[in-house]
Amino acid sequence: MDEGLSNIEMVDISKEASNEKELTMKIKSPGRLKLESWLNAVMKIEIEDGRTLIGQFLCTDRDCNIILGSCYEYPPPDDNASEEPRVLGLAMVPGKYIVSISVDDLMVHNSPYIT
Amino acid sequence: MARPPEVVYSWTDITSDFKASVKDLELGELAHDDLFGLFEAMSAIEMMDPKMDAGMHQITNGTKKILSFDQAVKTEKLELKKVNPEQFIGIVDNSIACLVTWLEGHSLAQTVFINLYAQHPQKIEDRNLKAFITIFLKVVDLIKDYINQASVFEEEDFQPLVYGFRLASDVPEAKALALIKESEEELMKEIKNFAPSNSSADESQEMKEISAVHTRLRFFRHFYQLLLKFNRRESPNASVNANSLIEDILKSTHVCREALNSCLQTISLGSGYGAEEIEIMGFEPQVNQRLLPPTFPRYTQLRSRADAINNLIQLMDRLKAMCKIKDHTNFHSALDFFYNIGRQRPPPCVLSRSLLQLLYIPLCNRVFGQQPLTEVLQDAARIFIAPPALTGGLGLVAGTQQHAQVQECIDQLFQQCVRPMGSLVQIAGHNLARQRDKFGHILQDLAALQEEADKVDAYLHTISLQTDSGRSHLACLGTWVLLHTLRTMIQYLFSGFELSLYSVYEYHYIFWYLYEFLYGWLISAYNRAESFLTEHQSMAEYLKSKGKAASATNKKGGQSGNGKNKKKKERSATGRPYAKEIAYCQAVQSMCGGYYKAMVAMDLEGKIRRPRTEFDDERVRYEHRFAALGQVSTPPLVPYVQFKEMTKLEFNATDENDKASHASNLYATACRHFHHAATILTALTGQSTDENVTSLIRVCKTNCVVMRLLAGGHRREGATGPQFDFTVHPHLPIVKVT
Repeated sequence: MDEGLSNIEMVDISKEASNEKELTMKIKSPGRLKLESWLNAVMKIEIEDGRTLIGQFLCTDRDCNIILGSCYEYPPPDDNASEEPRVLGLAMVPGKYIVSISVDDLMVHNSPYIT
Repeated sequence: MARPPEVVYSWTDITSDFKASVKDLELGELAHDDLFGLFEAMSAIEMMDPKMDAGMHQITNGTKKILSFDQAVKTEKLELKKVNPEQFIGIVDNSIACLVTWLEGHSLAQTVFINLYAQHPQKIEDRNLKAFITIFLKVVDLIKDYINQASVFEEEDFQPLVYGFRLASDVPEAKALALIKESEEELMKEIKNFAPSNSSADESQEMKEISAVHTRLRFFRHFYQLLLKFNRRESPNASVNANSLIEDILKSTHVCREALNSCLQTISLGSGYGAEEIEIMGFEPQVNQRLLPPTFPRYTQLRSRADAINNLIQLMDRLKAMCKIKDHTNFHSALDFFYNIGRQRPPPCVLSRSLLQLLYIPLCNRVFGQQPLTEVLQDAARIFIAPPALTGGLGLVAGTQQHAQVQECIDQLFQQCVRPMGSLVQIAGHNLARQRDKFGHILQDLAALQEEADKVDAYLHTISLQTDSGRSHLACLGTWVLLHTLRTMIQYLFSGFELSLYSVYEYHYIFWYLYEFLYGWLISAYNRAESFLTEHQSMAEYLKSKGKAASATNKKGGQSGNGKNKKKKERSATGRPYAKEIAYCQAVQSMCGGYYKAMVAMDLEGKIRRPRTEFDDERVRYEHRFAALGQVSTPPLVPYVQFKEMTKLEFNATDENDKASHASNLYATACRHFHHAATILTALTGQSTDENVTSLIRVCKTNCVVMRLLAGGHRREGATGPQFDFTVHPHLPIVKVT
């Protein structure tokens, strides 16, 4: 047992990991930086069937699939204005259905998450 | 965080900016916060996915807009004043389809309340329609109440949520009935006034339609009245005679069934029949989508009208069958009745299961609303095993302190019985999958009860020794509880077959357990009860003759203690009271033995596909299968080691030649087992024509032949494994080798 243990070389994983992080930091593209600046901001997304979704922008990928947190769903404007929004919670909007994206610019600057 | 809706936002459009930015991401790369990862993303609902997104507006038929009640009225798409018969029939038949679909476990918002009229019954002006919708909602309300009361449903069976809709609760029963009666009478007049002279084709068609409307109203009135009969909690006279009530129910089901049959005949008169049945005036399948929680089954496929009406006809048949419960005054036979109802094919709907519960125990722990459950249980125990303490066999004199103590002790025990035994009845009302789950839990309660019963037995035994009554009380009430424990255990194991939980390579130890232990215990429980009963009978006869002699010679007139129990019915079978039960158990035991031997033999021949050894651990599987039985101390759980030890003989075969002859020996034994069972069962059929027994005989005979063939070396090299056919009997299969 002792022999077996002594053969193992100890490697400092934490150092390697931090190196990697630095590396990725360097190659961040401008697009990515822009996306990151919007993270956690309130976003309004209109989708093809006319509904509007408002929620916190949490995640996206190359195909513009967007995940919104604490999301509310609003019916199409012409439908019935008095109707209450529906709580959806966490919702993923596939990119191909997105008609328009807006961001609440008050939140972009005031958001405590943005450094 | 998204803010409440009243907050004013300052939106900036970033569509093109955003879409350009995401192009900078690599394939599969995500832009997200440290706090949010793929794991969190997993739980997001996907918008525009037809399965997940309830609010999705169908783009495919974008021309059709979903209209709410008010919108439909405003755009004159919804007729409130005068609904023609054709539309009316369509609306009623669709409503029946909605009702039936709801009872199959769908939500009210997606079934009953896609009917716009049902959302606002007070705004309807058409007299017939208003009467119908009102009574329809009352029916839904009543059904919902009953199912909640009986509480034998799980989420897969029934959705009680009403989503804020009103179920006509503001309309009193009497008014709803008066409304519909009035409509019926008016229609009746119309039919009578219809002059038969000018019988052109057009008019006879109109006539047909009117009478179809009339039939539908009549059905709903009778259906509502039928359901009301089950409501005995609120009736002032709680002790309505159960028998006459059941007679009433039986009559009502006949009337309802007839009305349904004529509905079925006129079904083609309704608008939309045969086409997209739901797309008629008043129905908007998507109208309530926004009321549903974000993650909810999206679209509910409604039953077709014909299906739904047939379904209600079956419901009437089931109710009729359920009324036979009144013949089962003994708790044990009532329990059997409940389990048999639950095993019917197709499985009984949640409504019939609930109504059966309400029929048997409508009021808190009162059987048929009359006799307290404690008394019923005492009767059951008395009939089963005649405990000296319950039959005056202890020789105690009423009024003494000791008598009072014994009485209290007994009363307490039966009080404790109420909950687990009541649960057994309730479990029988659940669907089969939940039954199994609940059997596992109830065993714990039964084990505690068993312990208590044993203590009471011991105490009563010391008393019987003191009073010198000459009758032992050991393991008397205990045996009665044990009977229920064993039956529950057996049902638990068997239900695994019904639910197809076991793999074929597991069959051998399941059958082994039943064969070696459970049925052995059950038979000995019956034997014990039998000896108690005969002892009691001979004692009673002895006392009777002694009493006669005593009064004749005018000696002292004691023996007041056993005067009460004389009225108890003597069991008809004079010789052995449990001969039938024991024979049946022996037959099933023998069959289980046969399956076990056959399984081992087939395994030896390599006919059973087993999992690859590195993924398999028989011990783990064994312990998992029998874990629930381990909660009980008598009978104790048989550990895996013991199983291995006891089955060594069957499994030991070293070389190939030995294997073949060993297997063929085992097949021969299995054949004898099945043959033995068939003989016993055939003898039983002379006494009764129980369907269960006849199907078992069929299984035995077929298996016997198959085993004989296998023993003779037939299909030794068979490529395909054996098939198990559970169609004849749900627990004991026919073995097929192809």
